[in-house]
Amino acid sequence: MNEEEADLEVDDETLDLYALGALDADEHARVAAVLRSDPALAQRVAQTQEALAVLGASTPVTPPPSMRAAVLAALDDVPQEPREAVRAPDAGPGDTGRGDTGPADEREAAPGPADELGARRERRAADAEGPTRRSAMRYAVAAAAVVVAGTGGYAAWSAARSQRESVSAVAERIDAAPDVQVVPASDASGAWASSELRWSPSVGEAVITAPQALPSPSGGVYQVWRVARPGAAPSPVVDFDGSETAGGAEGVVVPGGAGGAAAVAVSREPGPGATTPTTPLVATYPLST
Amino acid sequence: MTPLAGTGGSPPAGRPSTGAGAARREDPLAETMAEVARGDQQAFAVLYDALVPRVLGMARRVLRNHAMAEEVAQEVMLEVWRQAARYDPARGGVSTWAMTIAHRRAVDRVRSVRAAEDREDRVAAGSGAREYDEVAESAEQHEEEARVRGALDSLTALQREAVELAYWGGQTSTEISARLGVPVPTVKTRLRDGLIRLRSALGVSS
Repeated sequence: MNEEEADLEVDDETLDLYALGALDADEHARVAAVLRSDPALAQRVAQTQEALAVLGASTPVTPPPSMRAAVLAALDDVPQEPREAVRAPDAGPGDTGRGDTGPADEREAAPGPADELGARRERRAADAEGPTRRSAMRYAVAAAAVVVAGTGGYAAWSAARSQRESVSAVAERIDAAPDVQVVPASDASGAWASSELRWSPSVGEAVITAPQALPSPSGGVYQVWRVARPGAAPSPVVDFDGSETAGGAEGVVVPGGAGGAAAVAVSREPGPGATTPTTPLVATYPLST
Repeated sequence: MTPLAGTGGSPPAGRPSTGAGAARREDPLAETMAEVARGDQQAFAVLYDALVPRVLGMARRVLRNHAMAEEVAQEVMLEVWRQAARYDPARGGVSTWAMTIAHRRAVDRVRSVRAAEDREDRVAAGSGAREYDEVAESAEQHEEEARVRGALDSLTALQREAVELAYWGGQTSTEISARLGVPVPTVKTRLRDGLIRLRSALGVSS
């Protein structure tokens, strides 16, 4: 965050930026916290959100029917949250939680929908072999994974999601695409040397897979990076803890894939949330551009 | 369905709307939402059908990637289910609430996968033109589009550019500043003035 925004109060301008989604993640979270305790401000934001929602709703698209089935089928396994998160237990239904619910968008870190969809995909695969129980246990495991993976933001969620979602399912989509690229690791040793990045621009995702289990990141995480062009600072994409590869020897989904980058790389970091590699890369996947 | 509305050219401001703008006054989804909050899955199916085209359209427009947009739309719909009891009618319509969740999710996602400049260029060139193969067509939709078009036309070109880079491009004011080569305060002023006009044109200003 630059200095101009660092000392902003939550003025009208900031509220507008908040409603637009034009604040960075930290500032967004800060404003969201303020709004939770200030219903009057929240009301002002709600007005802007209403106008923007009209804009946002102006290009509807018919979804594939499979999406409906997937979402409805997942409901049983997605517990609904209680009315209030924090306080005002006796507020009436009309104004319940006005100060507590906050804006509708502060739940990125919650264990949830995407993980459950992934879990269902796995379950469906398992069902082919025989009936399985509705897996409350499995959901609990997914939830725990999210907590362990870190807090907030897409990366943590994504790491958990990747763990849940069958990497091979994504890999299949990529392999079936006409523009699939398979990039072997360079500058890697051990199990990482035989790893590869498979990426399809049309699918929009990539996977890093290895034929043998990758070593544990010894208490830390593996962080995947995208390098926009040679010499550019790598930007973090997703982290994973290596357990993804322990059972199925699968790998990790790289959301957004190579996305026009010159390379995708992996480093071992002491924990999630690294913004720049702090250790030598364990593998690099150079892309022909 | 063939668009029936012959009102495309009329001034959009102040006209009673069938869309989110009128949500607070008469929200057709409010009762459904209350049922969903009580765990009614059939009610959720109704809600899903009502919301998902808009949610998916939003996600596609921000993400520009069909597969990712579908993932995000599914997440959003399950988030709606999960958070149903937290929806507060006093804050606005169900659709507004869902679109706010959808926008945040889509922006988070696009920021995490941003493939740098080429995508941003396309956003800048987008200017609201329809570009999708599968679009839900209805008279209501036709009318709503005209209304939004009219609202956007009430912004200056510079305001509109800033608002679209922020809203559809998922860019922060700092990023917009760098991209346009103007100071951050200028960007903020454009966004603010743009939103004032947008609110006014869509009839939601107090």
